[in-house]
Amino acid sequence: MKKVAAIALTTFKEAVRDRILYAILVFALIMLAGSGVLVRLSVGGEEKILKDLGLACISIFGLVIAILLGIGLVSKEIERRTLYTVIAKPVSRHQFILGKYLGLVMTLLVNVLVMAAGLVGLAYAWEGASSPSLLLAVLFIFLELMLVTALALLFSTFSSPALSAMFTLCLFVAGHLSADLRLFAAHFGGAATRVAAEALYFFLPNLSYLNLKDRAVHNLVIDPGTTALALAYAISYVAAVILGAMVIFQRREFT
Amino acid sequence: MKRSGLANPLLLVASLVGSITWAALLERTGPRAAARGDWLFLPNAAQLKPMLLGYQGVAADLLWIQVVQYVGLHWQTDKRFPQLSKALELATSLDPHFLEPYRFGALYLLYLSRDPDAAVALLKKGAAANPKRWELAHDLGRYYYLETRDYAQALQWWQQAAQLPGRPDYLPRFVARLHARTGHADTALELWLELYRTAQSDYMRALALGEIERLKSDQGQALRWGPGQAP
Amino acid sequence: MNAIETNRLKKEYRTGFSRTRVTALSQLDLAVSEGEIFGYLGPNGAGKTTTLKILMGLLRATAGDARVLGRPPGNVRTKQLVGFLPEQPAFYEYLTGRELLSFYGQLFGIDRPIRRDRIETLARQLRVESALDTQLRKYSKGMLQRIGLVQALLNEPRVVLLDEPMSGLDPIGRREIRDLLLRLKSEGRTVFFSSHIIPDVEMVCDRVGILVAGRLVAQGELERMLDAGVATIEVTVSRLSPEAVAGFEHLLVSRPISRGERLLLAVKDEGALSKLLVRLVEERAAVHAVVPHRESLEEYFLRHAQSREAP
Repeated sequence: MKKVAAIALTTFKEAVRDRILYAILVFALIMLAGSGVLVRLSVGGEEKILKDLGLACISIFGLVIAILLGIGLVSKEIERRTLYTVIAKPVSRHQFILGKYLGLVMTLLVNVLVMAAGLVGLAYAWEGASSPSLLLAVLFIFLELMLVTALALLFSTFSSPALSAMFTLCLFVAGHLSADLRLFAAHFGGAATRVAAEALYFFLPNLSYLNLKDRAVHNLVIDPGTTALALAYAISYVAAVILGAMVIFQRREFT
Repeated sequence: MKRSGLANPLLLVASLVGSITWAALLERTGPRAAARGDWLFLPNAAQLKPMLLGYQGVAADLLWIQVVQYVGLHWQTDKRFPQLSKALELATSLDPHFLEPYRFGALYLLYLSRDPDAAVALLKKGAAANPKRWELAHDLGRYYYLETRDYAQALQWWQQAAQLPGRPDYLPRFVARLHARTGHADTALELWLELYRTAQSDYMRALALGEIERLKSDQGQALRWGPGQAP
Repeated sequence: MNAIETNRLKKEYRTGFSRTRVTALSQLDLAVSEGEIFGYLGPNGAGKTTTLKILMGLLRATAGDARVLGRPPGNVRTKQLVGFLPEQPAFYEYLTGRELLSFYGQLFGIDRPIRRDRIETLARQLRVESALDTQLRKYSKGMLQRIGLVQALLNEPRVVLLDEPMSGLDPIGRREIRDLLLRLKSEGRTVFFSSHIIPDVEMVCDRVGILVAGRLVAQGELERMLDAGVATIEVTVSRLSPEAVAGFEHLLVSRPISRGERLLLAVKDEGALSKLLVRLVEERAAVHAVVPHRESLEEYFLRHAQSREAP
């Protein structure tokens, strides 16, 4: 485990010093501030709109960061051959993948915390307080991003950086559409289509489970039971994806 | 070498000036599409929702902000609001728990578009989607009381609202008065005062002020303003 | 036990859309003993890097067997005892040299005080210590090569595998590496390195393997290989008439080369030399020099490389 920690820490250091990440973060904070301005155009509901825009900012910019981090992981390392000297060390391929993922999650966490701090600051400036459900929504955004990073990592174990980014983005979209796809198949497909759609529905990452934004923004009651289930879903799905990445990476050759 | 050193900055300034000029001309040719209200091309909420990938709350917000601009602009120009209904329908379907489009939207439909049926339908939609919020039942009761003078309906909605958490203090008072079938003028005055106080736009304020003055003069009262009532 | 051993090692790729089969290595039977310096020679594209990658577990062999310190490649216990430097190494660019080496040290399981010591010592020996606190993206090619060598030696390895260690270095640097390799040998370590720069190999290696188009065309002790190679004895003469030369041309291995007034004659061995000398004395020629000329590794290499080039 010490070796996994070493890989995680090194990945974190290397990722966090990449200037592109800072640029994205600064842009996100500017957008957050901009939301504060946009809100003034509304009549009523300013608090709700501010939270909506703030969470959307964190979500979207977080997505960009998650995909960038994930593909930079294995794809870029293989391309630039920085991987060779690490694999040559007495470290198993599993440890490598796990360490890499943890390092990326740490980087993602730091970024999300910065953006969340920006949002909380904005909320304080507006109403002098911020609700705990807002932070819960941020937590679930973070979980969604952890999932996206894991997917990006999975794809990057076997495809190029550009393709990995595309696949990940596609799965992100599919993850939000999965409920609708299932309904669509139920309406228009035959029995075979329905079965296939059901299978696909459970196989694809269902990101709407992790979407607490609407509930947080309206201060609606967030049921702890459902929340715990959603948390469990996220964690087990992430575990499955990472294990898949480990299996693929184990067999990978580096020409 | 000196020539090329001078040419680039000049070209830069020229293109910047050019862009600003064209932009200014464009601005003059007419208000932006959002204020014009090009929402008719949008699909209905059920079709739109999947495309928004979980961000329908934000979409509703942006739509609402656009509605506010739309109403403001058309109030100052042609006083016609053909697309208001569609936009409000879309916004409320995308985020059923966002109350402002129902409440202010109903007011705009009622007093600006002069479309009471649409206003009532919108409020009823809101009440159905938010059964634990007093605001929508309250607004429906107010509509029946002030506009159609259907006191039976007003009583029914206000009684519902009076039991919900956070309801304003005057509601039980109104319900009591309705039961006793007295104090209509006072009730109406209180309602219009509340509308005046919470008005977010000049036209609503002007409208409420007009009603308040009319009621006060009907009662033969001098226009004396109590604390917290001055415009 | 051999430090490195391969047995009928084969590596095939399928490339391109049509998935044509390309054979990168075939019938490779390598044997490297512990404590020796083995030079792995071959033209570009011969398969040297492929071999090294298979030995390090970065690639899998299609057929055949490979062993490093008696265990299959990629074995974690073996990697603890092996140092590796890939060709034109690339490292995490935003880390400093020290952070990178500390990271590798942690992967080797070396404790912090020893780690710190070794990093300092090796960096000093390889003359990169001044750059240790600079980010790697600022390193020159030569510095990258040096830091690469440091990371390859960090665990005091029993076997060191180097892919083109001299690449990117100037003659001074190359000499330093040669000295380093000899020092490693004196410490009892095995060195296996690939190169296409023959003089470097010639100067330090005990044994040599020549790889051409995926096949090992020669392997063995350098001295013996060269001794067994074509040797000639060059005789420098003057005052010989062309007709006289024609008289003993059958003794020569190649055409005489004229150098101004002098003539260079080449004979195969001592027997032919004796006969030639007798004839030269008869002709009253002046003999200026008799020099035994052993084939250089380069000539040997070129001879073998060319013989395999034709498909």
